[in-house]
Amino acid sequence: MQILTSRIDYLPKGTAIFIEAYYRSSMMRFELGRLDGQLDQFSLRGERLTEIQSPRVTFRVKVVVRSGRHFGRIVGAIDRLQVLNRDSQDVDRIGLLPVRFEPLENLIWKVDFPDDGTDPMLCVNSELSVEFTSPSVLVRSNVTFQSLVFPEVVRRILEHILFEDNDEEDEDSWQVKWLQFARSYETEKLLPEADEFDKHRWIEDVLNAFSQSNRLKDNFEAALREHHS
Amino acid sequence: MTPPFTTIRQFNDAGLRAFLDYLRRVKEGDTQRSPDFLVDDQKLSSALNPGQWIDPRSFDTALDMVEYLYPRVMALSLPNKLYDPGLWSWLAAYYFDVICPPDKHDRRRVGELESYIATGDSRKSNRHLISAAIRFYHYHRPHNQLALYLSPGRRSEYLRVIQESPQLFTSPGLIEAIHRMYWNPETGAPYRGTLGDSNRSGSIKRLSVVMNQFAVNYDLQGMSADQILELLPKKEFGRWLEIAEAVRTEV
Repeated sequence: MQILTSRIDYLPKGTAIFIEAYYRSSMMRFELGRLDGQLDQFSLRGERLTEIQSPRVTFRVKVVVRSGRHFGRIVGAIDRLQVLNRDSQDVDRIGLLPVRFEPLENLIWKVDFPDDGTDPMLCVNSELSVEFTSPSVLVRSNVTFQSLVFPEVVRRILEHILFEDNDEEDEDSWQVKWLQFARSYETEKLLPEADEFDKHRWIEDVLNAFSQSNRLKDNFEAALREHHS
Repeated sequence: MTPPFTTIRQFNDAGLRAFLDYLRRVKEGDTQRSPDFLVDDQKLSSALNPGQWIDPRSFDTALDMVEYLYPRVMALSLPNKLYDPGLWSWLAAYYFDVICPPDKHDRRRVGELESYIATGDSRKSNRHLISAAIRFYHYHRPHNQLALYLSPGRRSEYLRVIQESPQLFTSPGLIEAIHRMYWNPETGAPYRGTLGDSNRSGSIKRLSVVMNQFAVNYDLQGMSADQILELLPKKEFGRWLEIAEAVRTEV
């Protein structure tokens, strides 16, 4: 891993850069180096994440004052960095949603909720035989696929959160992130005392607003017209 | 009767289902027997390598249990051993009479099922009575008394609060600070007045709220206990800060 910085002359000498790899309560921390006005790039090689108990690792980079009365102050940070192997054709990400391409026999797609509590994932059949495109391009750019699949993916995730696994206590949880996403589309708040009917109605409301905002109906209609013309 | 000396085993899927079924039956009052019929069933579990022997002894505190099990578990050649569902569920079944003993009426009070059945979900695994204690010990020796002073079947409120906040759990300096503030070495128990809700000045829950706010601007993971104690507002935590100041833990 390599990190580039611009010259930050106003920071005290000895300000350090740390990278933390974490998953829930497991964390490993490495010092990349000190800002001394000479170097502006730092790298880390050869370390192994032996204490991280999940294959899904998130990273945090911190720039920390390590001297004087502001010892320990974070003067810069980036959190929730997830690493994708860009050479791999097996994974992708669309906004909040990780996408994995794998054989699914006769299914085109499904939503996977891993047992280890990591983010839900859209799985798309890597063996789809589609002319002039690939499963990855299909997901990213095909409006027919997006307009039919994405609302349903969001529906399944929200139903899973509201009816099976709501972890709003941990602000780093994927449930909180998805609820924040959904609340950006809600027209009415979901009350704590909402019953099952209210929750389903709220989900429909969010999906309707999501689809409208992304013009999914218009795009689908345009794609159909183009297909038939 | 729980088998005498045995090597540590790991439930397979059938074993996990059988243990879950047993727990539900105990909870519903259908049975109060010990699950010893599960722990040595070769169809439900397999021995782990290299063989680590354990026996069905009793433990006064969670710390006693952890100090006994920890070297044996860490010697296993098992990837992801701190979270493995089969391992920790089997150990919970083996020591079920310790973590869920029958009362004087021979009835067991089974708590939430995640206390005994380990899952791959890291959040729920924090509720497991044995694996959560082991993990705390793994990361935070020697400042583990507040987390592990109760009997093995009871989950310390201090442990629960710390586990709920990854920022707290991953800061060795903060764990030491908490230990110095709240642990009374003379009584072998926490000081009174350190629990209560998050509105109570100086409580562990209030400390958690305050430290999560500090975590936005301070690198808690890299600060010592003394540096962290300097951050705390004296108006709220004065009494505990004085106690912490008087204590210097030798590592």
